Amino acid sequence: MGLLHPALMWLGVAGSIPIIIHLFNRQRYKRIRWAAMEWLLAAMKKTRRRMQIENLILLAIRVLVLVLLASALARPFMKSAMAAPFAESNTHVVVVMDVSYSMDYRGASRDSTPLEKARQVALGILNDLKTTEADRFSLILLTDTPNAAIGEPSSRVDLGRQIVGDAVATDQGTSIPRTMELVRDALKKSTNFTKKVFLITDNQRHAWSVPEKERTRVAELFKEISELTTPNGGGIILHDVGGNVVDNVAVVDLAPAPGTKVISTDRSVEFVAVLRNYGPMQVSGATMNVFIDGSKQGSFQVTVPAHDKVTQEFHHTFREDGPHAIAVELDADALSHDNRRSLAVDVREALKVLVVNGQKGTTFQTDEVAALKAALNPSIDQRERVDIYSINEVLENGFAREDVRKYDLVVLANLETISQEEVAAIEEFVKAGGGVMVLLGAKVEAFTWNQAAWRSGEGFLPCELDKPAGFAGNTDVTRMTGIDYTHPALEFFAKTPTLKPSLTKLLVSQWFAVKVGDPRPEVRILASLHVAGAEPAPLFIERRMGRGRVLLCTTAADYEWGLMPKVPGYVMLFDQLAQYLAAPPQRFRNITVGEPIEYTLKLNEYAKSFTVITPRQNRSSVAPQRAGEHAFYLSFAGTTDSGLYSLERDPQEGETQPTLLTWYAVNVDPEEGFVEKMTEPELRSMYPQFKFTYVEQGTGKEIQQIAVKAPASNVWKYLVGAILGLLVLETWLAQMFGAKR
Amino acid sequence: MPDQSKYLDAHVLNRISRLNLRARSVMEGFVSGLHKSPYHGFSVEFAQHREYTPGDDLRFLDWKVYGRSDRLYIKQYEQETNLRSYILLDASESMDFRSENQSKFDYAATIAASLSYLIMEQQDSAGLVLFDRMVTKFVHAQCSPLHLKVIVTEMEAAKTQEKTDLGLVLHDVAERIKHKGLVVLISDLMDKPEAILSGLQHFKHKRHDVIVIHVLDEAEVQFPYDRMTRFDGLEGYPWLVVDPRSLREAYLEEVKKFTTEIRRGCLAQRIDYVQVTTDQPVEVALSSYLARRLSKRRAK
Repeated sequence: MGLLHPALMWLGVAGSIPIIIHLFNRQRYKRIRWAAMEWLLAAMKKTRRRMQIENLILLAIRVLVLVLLASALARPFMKSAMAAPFAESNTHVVVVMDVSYSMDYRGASRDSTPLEKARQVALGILNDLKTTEADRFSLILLTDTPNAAIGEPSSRVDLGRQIVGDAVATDQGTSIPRTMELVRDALKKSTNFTKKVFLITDNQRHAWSVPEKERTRVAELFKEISELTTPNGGGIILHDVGGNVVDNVAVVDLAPAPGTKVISTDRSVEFVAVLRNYGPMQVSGATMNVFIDGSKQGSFQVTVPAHDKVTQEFHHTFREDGPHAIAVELDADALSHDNRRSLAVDVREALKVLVVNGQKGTTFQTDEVAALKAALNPSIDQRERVDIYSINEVLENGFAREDVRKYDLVVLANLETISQEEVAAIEEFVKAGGGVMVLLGAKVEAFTWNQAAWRSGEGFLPCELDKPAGFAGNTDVTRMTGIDYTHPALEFFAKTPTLKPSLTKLLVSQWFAVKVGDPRPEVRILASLHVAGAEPAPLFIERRMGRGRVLLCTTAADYEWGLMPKVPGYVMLFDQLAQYLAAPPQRFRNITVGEPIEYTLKLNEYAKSFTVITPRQNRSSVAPQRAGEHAFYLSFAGTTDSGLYSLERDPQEGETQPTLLTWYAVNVDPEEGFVEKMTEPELRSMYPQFKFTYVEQGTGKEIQQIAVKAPASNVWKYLVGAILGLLVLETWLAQMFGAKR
Repeated sequence: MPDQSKYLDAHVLNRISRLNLRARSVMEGFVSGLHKSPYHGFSVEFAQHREYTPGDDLRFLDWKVYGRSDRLYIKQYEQETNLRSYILLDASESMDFRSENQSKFDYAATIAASLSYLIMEQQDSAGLVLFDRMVTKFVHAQCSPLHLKVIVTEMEAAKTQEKTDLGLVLHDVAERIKHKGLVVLISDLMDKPEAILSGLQHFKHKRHDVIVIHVLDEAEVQFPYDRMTRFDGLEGYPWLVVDPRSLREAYLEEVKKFTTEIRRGCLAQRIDYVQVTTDQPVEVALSSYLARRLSKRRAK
């Protein structure tokens, strides 16, 4: 005998209510002076015993009624064989079927894939599920973005069979913790007496792993599910349908070579593909094919050592600007989903740069931006274009006439002042995604700049300008310190050890002291200058504004305030900074399966409808959504397949063809390709409070548990019957006793 | 109306005065009245003859009968004499009980005053004995308007605060009343039946005509309570908290048993037993009893 809701037995205390009422009534009496006490005492003596017995009987019945009521609410059940005749199946089964791409692993023996085994197990469970009035089931498809195919407890077994039968391996990875949240939700919706969870998976090691900071939360989640399922003959059954072979080579990464932030036309671009061998055997002579915009451009024979990674570089020169797609594909192996990887890039003819020169000089050394221009376009070799910048230089007084919206990057070099109109144009430009680099110098009038561009933090300047500092006449110099190599603009140096020391060789003699103030999330210091006996002076300060970025360099980019151009690192530094500021981030075009496609429309791209074409050539119409007063974006969540998705603007008036806006490369999670299993002892050790029954293969033995009748959960019905009977008896006895009296 | 006492109600007196209180047996008395004297021979109204026996007073020999029949007969005469009545009124604490109407004592005192008035109206004499566990007041029987006032005054001055010992009191009073007469006991009879009957027997032994008027409150007869009640016992009884519904049946049985025993005991001793409850109008209770008593008398 057990209780489904033992806490409700506390309501049994209500059984004392009749006693309390009895005692209370004894305290609430009418008082009478009475003469005929002799007769009263005689009557009392005669009836006392009978009355006591009658009262005790009534009191006992009333107490029993309340205790039985509390017991009925606590839902008692019997586990003994004697209870079997009273039992009826009342089970909620949550079937969790792994449909991640690792379930499609087909070994050399050409046996069934784990998914085919899982399908059999799930169908077996559904077939054995008793479809009584009380039995229910839920069906959850396990991926890293799990889907409750049947979330509400249902008795529609036919629908469940159809979903299971139609289930195919997706391109998604696995997250058991995330899936278990859906399991918990399904269990909480259940009102069934017995609750069982069947987790059918290939039991990959990485599927169970979570970041360390989430370990406690996940452990609590597993514990909660265990507690929800443990009582009344329920439980969690882990069907491990995975194999023991882990032979698999995957393309785990495809990206431009480090430091390549901008891909421009007519310039050879290096791409790097990373191949990983998860298996214990070296793979030799595998063919890796390269596709550019869907056309095969070449192939490579690669050898990947066991448990190791190799990189394969290849080059391509784009002749046309606009969106392009690159893909690499390996020979077919046991798991095909991770053999192909795509990359979407925006190829620019050139990055358009407006340089506003505040101090035009006659020589390389005296011109404010000569060194900077040379750094951005260093090549004199005309055979192959290597410069990616198209630079337009104007003087300070010509700045007002320029439409900054035509440019990708605006460099403001040593401008004495800046007008409010210019500031407004700059800020609109930055918010729309443009990049601005502000270089300071001796001409800069701090007060005017602060009033126009700082505005107590409202303007585009990252910080308030104070006054020039340092050592006049380059009599002394200082070096950079506190370099944030994690910043995207500088990470190239961290990845290129030969260049990293060059940053610290840049020499600066004067700079503008600034007041950064309290930390703000949109402001970040990339590097500072070492100042003897004082706090480092910020040198590069970034401020994000809307979709764009502003970088303040507190020193000059020429020889006036230092010797930076003399050092080779100067070229790479300003090239990286310029690319970072001017180039749209590529990473938003390259996402993982399940992540949504989100595209912010430019003003000239707006239309009423757009179309997303999936790798399976399915077309989905997408309507623009408003993101602000003049801003619209597109969102598409159906990235269930890996591959290239194209986003097109539907033909507008006067157009016959749709316009390709961009490509999106949607790739699988490479970790999912590592099909090494989590062993049962490891799992129990990792989550000791996760109570489960481990079944290596879906033998059907555990499935039969479904068919076993649940313990007699309907004892409460008999209790309610007994309560009603007792109430009738009490009424009858009370009337009978009362009539006697 | 001789007095304006609360115990003398004009309506009651008017109702009962039309009925004569006649003793069932012949009473001896000093005042000529409606009651026959047991003493034959010196009165004016001939009653009967009986054979002479030695020792009879020769003055009552009927010489005419002797002359006609040569037998000796004694002439016996009937003479109506005055009635000497004593009303024994229970003034114990239990008589102070009342449920809704007047207390049992007030009701009993009204009966006592009314009977006294009636008796004196017939030129008979009436006395009063107030008692609780002992006789607290003994007013000798007299017949005068002033005496009625004395009786009423004594009743009004009575305090009902002591226990009852009815048996003892009845024996005591029986010893104190020297002449045969009418004894009316008005009480709630809260004592042992055997003690009460023993006391009454004492009166009968003294050849008194005895009437027992058993005064009870309606609540004592009906026991109408239906919620938890604390009964604070009078006359030294303890309090008792009970559910009256559970006791009612047994209680009424006890009442019935008691009254039956008293009634039977009275019947056996030729004592009139009258049970009245305080919710009955006094005049109705008294007149119905007196009418019944008169009809019995006439039937004889």
